[in-house]
Amino acid sequence: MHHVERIGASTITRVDRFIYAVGYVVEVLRQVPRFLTHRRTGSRVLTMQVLFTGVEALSVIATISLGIGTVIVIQGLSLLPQFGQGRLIYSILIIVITRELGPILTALIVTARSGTAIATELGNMVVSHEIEAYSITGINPIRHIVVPRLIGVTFSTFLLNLYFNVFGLLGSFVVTQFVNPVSLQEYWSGLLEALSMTDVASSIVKSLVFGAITALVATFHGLQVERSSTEIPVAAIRSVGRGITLLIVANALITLAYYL
Amino acid sequence: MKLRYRYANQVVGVFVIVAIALTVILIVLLGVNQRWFRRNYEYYARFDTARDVAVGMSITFRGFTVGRVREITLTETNDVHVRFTIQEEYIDKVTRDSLIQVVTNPLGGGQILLHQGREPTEPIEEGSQIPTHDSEQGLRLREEDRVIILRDTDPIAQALGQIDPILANVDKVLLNVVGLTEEIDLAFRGESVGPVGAALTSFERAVADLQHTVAGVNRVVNETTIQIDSLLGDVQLIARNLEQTSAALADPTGLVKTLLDPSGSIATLLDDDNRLFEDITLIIASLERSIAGLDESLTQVAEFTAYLNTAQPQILSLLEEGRQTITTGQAVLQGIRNNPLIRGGIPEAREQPTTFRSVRDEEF
Amino acid sequence: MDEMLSEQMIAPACRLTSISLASESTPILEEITVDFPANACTVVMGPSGSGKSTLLKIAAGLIVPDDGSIEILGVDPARASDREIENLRARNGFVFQDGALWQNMSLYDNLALPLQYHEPERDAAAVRARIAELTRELGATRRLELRPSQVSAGERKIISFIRAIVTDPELLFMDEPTTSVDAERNTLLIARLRSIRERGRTIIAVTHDARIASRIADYILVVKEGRVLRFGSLREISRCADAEVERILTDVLSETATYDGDILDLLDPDESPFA
Repeated sequence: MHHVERIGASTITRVDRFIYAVGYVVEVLRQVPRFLTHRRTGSRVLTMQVLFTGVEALSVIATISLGIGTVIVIQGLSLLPQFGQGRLIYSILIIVITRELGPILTALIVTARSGTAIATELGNMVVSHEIEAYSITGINPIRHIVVPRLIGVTFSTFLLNLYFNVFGLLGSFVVTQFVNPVSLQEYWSGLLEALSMTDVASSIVKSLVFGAITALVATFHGLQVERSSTEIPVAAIRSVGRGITLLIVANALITLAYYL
Repeated sequence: MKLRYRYANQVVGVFVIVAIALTVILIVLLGVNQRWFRRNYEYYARFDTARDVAVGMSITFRGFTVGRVREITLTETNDVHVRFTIQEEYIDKVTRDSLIQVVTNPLGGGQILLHQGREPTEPIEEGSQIPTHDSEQGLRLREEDRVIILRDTDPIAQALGQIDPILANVDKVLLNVVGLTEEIDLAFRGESVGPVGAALTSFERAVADLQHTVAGVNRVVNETTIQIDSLLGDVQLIARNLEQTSAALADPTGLVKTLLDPSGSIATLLDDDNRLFEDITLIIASLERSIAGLDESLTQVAEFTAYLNTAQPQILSLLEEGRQTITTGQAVLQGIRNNPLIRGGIPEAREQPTTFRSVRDEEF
Repeated sequence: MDEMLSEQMIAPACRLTSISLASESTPILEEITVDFPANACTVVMGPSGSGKSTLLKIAAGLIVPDDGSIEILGVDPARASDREIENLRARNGFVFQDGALWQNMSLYDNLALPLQYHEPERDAAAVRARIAELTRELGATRRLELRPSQVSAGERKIISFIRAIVTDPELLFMDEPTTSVDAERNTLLIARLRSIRERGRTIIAVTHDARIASRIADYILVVKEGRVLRFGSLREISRCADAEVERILTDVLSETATYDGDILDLLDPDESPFA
């Protein structure tokens, strides 16, 4: 009986937490249009968020995508021509870089860099009563703190995904020149042939959803801090862990949705 | 304050603008490449079955993709209604008397060929029907020669098309061979119906078979109907025949022994000052050359089959088999030439490497 | 208390009814019912840990109590729409105990944000003029481009006070506004508070500072262990015969008092040099 009670209690807690999180997301989304129509004060926060999340992550993104493009080209060009399927390299580049790894790796990097930063920052703001200061000033903290971060992170993830593609596909072209030189024209038209609007749409949808997930999870956990500064690192860790799990689940769901 | 924080707006602005510019360029290029801004003209055709057509199948004209199948529906009268589009820039190819033809290859891929009407006219009205190759109307158009029918552009058919001149070459060589064997036959006629004659007759038969097959291949290629299976059967048969012949030639208790048998025809040959023998040697050398030529041709065929590569492993293996058989036959012939004069015997086979290994060597 | 309420001719600025709050089943506040009179200054006093700060935050609508209802300037924050809440916030200010300045903004932006938010019609020059006026009056630093972490605690407190009053709110909540503020600026601050009160604003302050209590308090609320011990006018409380109240006030005030003699005299308005 005791176990039954425990299971019941933990289920109720979980459902409660889930409903609370859903309510949080709904509230944030409700505030997005208000922020956009009403942004007297938040645009600076938005700019800084894009600077931190987008611009400052650019070098990491460039390095990783160049590396991955290189690996695909080298492995692909050593294997595919054996089957007379050399042109498949373009499809593989598109599938791996544009459809799959681009969005998810970008989101993972953003989660690791900005997710922790946002959770920590918001946790600190709670502890030092800055959130209360916003509330009492009549500035809705969701609208003024969460929404610009949501928009900034989502937008940055979208842009970084784009840069990931550019560097990944460009980098692989450079490598191709050493392995099996083709003209830029041929490489480019091969890529464009393999690239469909579905790929582009899938990549864009993914990067936007992933960016939103990262921002929502990070702000949610940051605001979960109550009063002690010892809760802040816990919130940061939780936001990364929960964020990565959700990203991978969302990636699987979106990929699945595109194949259905 | 760090520099990049002071210029946050500028830095972010550049970051955003570059990304947006790249996106726009990409989408425009994608659109141009995939013809978003070009108009397509719609036509339809009726087929008996939808088995060989599929949505998205391309429509080609002299090797250019000019359109695509958009929709396939079954009508109330059990016709298959195939709606397809022709790209704007090729619309003037769709003239009166044009017809379409479905070609498939054994791998299941396929395409629709557009054959243009012979008489240059204005493009036919959008939305009208284009007759198929084997429909009544199509047959009539073909019979009356009102449509230009080209060989199709299916990759396998193309490769076979390139094989064609080589096969013609093979054909010529074989005619040569047949002539020579007939000569040999004549030389022996009346003298003996002994083992050499028999062996050569058997070889002749094989060669005749091969010639027949080549004619068959020619027919097949000309009719642009791919009957790979029967072709393969023929080639296989030739290969077997050749193999048997060379086995007969190589058999030490057979031909060679008979040649050396003093009571056989060889004794007669040796008696007339080696003249007849030298004649035979000459004939055999020439035959050998011909076979070498055939071998070379088949090697060439094998190289061409490289285009088909993984597509048609059987062809490759059979050609390889045929080539090996011929090589064996060649060696045996050299043995025949050497042996009576007691020189080298049958030489060690020196493998002439082909470009591709036999498919049986490797699992796919 | 009844007598006091009858003195009130207008509705209270802030009304708490049967407020209770517990943290993990330990009660912090129990059954608190108070009407903070409008256009007057109420000082909340009590020993440390008596729940004064929590009470103030509940009164300001920052903490939602487990039980009871609140009305701030006629608005119930639990039922009000977002717009009503926003309007309400434009009419109140809050000085946090630790300043609670926004760390990621310059001091100037900390002061400008409430103005930009609630008075968008003010142009940048007007905002700058208003901030300059207040910082000069209260002796705050002129280097407003600095971040909060770059200035002293006392400076932060002054800036936080200016932030609370920059929109000239009808209702001002203060949690220990004078801690870590030096004597000179303390005087400036109290002078400002007096002028705020004289302009008919309502002030609710939690403080240990006897000078604030004596110079600006109209009413005193004495809290102990999460309950209201006594609520009355300054005169009533300072002349109260209740030994417990007297002991609490003595303890609280002695933390900041620098005078000898009867400590409760500090609370006597007649004795106040500024009265």
